[in-house]
Amino acid sequence: MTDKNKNKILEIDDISFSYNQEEKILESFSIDVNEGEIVTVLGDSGVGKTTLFRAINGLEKVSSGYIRLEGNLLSSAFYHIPAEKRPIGTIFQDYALFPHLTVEKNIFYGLKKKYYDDFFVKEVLGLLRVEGFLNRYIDQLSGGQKQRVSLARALVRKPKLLLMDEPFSNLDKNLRLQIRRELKKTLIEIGSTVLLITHDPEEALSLSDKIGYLYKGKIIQFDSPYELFHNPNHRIIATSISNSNVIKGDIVSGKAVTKIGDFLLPEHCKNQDGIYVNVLSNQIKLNRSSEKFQIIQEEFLEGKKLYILKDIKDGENINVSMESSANFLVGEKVDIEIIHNKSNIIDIS
Amino acid sequence: MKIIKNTLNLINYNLNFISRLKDFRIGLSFLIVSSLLLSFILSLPLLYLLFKLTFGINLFIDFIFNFNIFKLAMNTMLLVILVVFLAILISLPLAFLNVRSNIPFAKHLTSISVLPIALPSYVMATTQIELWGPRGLVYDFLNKIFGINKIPSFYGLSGSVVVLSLITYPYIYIGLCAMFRRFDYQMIDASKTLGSSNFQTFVKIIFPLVKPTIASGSLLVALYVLSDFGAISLLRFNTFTTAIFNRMYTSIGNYGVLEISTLAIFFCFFILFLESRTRNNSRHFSNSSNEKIKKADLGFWKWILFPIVLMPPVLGFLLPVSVLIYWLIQGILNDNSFTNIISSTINTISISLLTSLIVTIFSIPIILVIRKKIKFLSFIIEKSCYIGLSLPGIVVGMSLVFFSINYFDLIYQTFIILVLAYLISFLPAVITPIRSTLTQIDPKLEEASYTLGKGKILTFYNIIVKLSAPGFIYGAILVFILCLKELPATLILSPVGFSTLATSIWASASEAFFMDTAAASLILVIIAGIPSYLFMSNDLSKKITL
Repeated sequence: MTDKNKNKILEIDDISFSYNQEEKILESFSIDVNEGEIVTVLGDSGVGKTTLFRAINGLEKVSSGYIRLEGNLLSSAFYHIPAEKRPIGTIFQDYALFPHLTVEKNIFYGLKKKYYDDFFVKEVLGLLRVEGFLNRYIDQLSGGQKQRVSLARALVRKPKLLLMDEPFSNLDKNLRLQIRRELKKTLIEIGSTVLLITHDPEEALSLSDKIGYLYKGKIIQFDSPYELFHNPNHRIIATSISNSNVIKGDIVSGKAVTKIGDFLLPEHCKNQDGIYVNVLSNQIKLNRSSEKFQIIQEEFLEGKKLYILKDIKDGENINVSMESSANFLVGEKVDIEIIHNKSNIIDIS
Repeated sequence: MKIIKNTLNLINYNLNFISRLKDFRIGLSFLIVSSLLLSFILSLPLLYLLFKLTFGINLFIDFIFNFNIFKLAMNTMLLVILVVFLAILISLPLAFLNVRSNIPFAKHLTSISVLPIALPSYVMATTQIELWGPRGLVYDFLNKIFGINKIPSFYGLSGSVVVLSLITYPYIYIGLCAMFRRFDYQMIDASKTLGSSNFQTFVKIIFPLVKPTIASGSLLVALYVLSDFGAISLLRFNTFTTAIFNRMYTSIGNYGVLEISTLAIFFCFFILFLESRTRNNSRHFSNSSNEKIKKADLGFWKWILFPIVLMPPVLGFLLPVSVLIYWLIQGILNDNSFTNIISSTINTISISLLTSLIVTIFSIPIILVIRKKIKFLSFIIEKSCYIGLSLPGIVVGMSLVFFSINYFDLIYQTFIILVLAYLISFLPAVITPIRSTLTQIDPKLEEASYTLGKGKILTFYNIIVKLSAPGFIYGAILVFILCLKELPATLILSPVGFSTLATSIWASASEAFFMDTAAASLILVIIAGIPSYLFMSNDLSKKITL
């Protein structure tokens, strides 16, 4: 899971965590973050994201495994460096800005003047455009300004790692897109190493160099955004990230045969019954020629339309994404045509 | 069915029509006139004192620079400072541990810790004197076991501080519990991840954020101490209230009563000013939005801290009640008669219920005018309501006596003047929780109701009345409890032959017949304790920000 050409900054090795003995929140969780990388841990609610966040920044103790930062041990079952001693910059979900302090006092909270790099601090404040409202209180700021202040507060400390927990969840969509772009630019300019924790696939895909998909306390795939989107190895990733369809099929004469058509098999695939094929929503298109499916919903994506169909026979849903010029109507009966028949066989466990 | 539906539609139409009548101006004028009248009545004691003072300003200045008055002022100030300090010291860790830690039986501890509030100060004083006083139970125990024959005196400043702290810490504790329930724990996490230790986090983050809550609770404690008469008098400590009472009943021509009262009011206003400065400088934190309350894991320490957390309710409620039960049993064994108890109980409950009803009803026009935010008028009316909060009961009673004798003899020594004194003293207690629940109502709900076809009256009923009901209920309960325990104004203003539980306890306690107070005190504690306990163990307290 590591790139050997780069320095390993964060190393999480086989950690487990549980609040009680019956239920493990994290189990044998491992991930590495290299210098200058933006790595995202992506997962739905309740899979252990917040626990992971708290374990890394030292707010929770792990029951087993190791967390290391630049090779120095931070956490293990018998060793724990407290949160205040870890050189990690943290961005909380609700920003956790102190309402009784001004922006300036928030940014310099706990920071001893003689120890900080004045030039770097000025650069960060300028880059994040917070200089204009240093004397304001937090309740006088907009959502975007709060986001920038929380980032400035974390960055002025020159942290070895920037840890972000759902940093955009409180922003509206337009602001989210704008801030995401600005943030990526700033992080690249400063050269920060970032671990982002989020439930939002769009956020993960647009910001990250690598994404680890967290499911039931474990990373089930750790790959580039491209690989995760196009070649997910698990049904849950396929359906949540790329609006893909996971369709049951059989291998017949070297082909994957499904109810919507035949797909080519990847080379490594063995001859077996009951395989599952990951069909991307843009790998197929709609035709009016027959009546196998009915359009039940139409949604606009960015510049595209996503049609959700219902199989008239078995009631299963299928997603098809098409150009926005497509003019199919909700309720219309249609058929599916395969555009690209390259297939990706995935784990359904 | 159709007829019923049509009739309901017709009623709704008519209600909407009435509500639209001249844009509600008749109603509004009525509201304003009635609130102004009420604020005038509420300001009566203060207006009267100021009126008298303007005629004798030189005498007043001579009087207050007298050495005895200086000593009285120092005593009062020292008592207020020490009680507030001790009450904070008790309530802050108590509230944090009960709400934000895994201390055993936290839910029950949260509720029982508020119970000392149910004890009148004079009952707390008599029972604590029995425990810690000379020849008290503790002395007997130490004397029999260890042969000790001298213990520090409980009378004077030390006893007054202990008794008043035990009775008043819940005023800070209740607010702190509510505050800790909605405290955003991310603030603490953020502070730690920014390199601050637990101590630094407490000093820089937790304390500044809880400061406004502590300040408003401390204000109530300080005003309570300033106006307390029963406990201080029994513990033989001289403050403004005891001086006013003693001079009213012993001095010829009530010499100095008005001057000391005026000085007491200056003290109260000074405390109000201090509190308002703290409030103005504070910024409120956002509520913890999406997480359930995280509790600190105390590990093994929880078993060490548990008995410490148990101490305030034990010392402030369980022990005094045990003493009362002990006296009651002794009284029964000695064939004491409890004949007056029934009539006193009926009198107390009737006058308290009546007052609570009147105060709640009278608060409605005031609340509505305050809510309307009419320039200047709303401000004046709101401030006049809070005058009662800053006036000691004895000052209210005294000024109403002078006022009625001089200008309105007809109401002197009637129930009207007694209820009027309660109204002046307790109206702020009902306005604060109602206003708190009203400000929590999203104005969009009213707009939504209008857009769904409901008129002003139905919207007012369905949205404002129903959603602010917890505030009204809490306010009414609070007035009822305060009324049950009120002593100085009741002593001064009660019609001849009318005794309440408070006055009958006082009659025995002031003559040092403590045992005779047992039955009346227990009844009073039970009547006041049940609603206090229910309030804390119920969701009601979570809906109201004190």
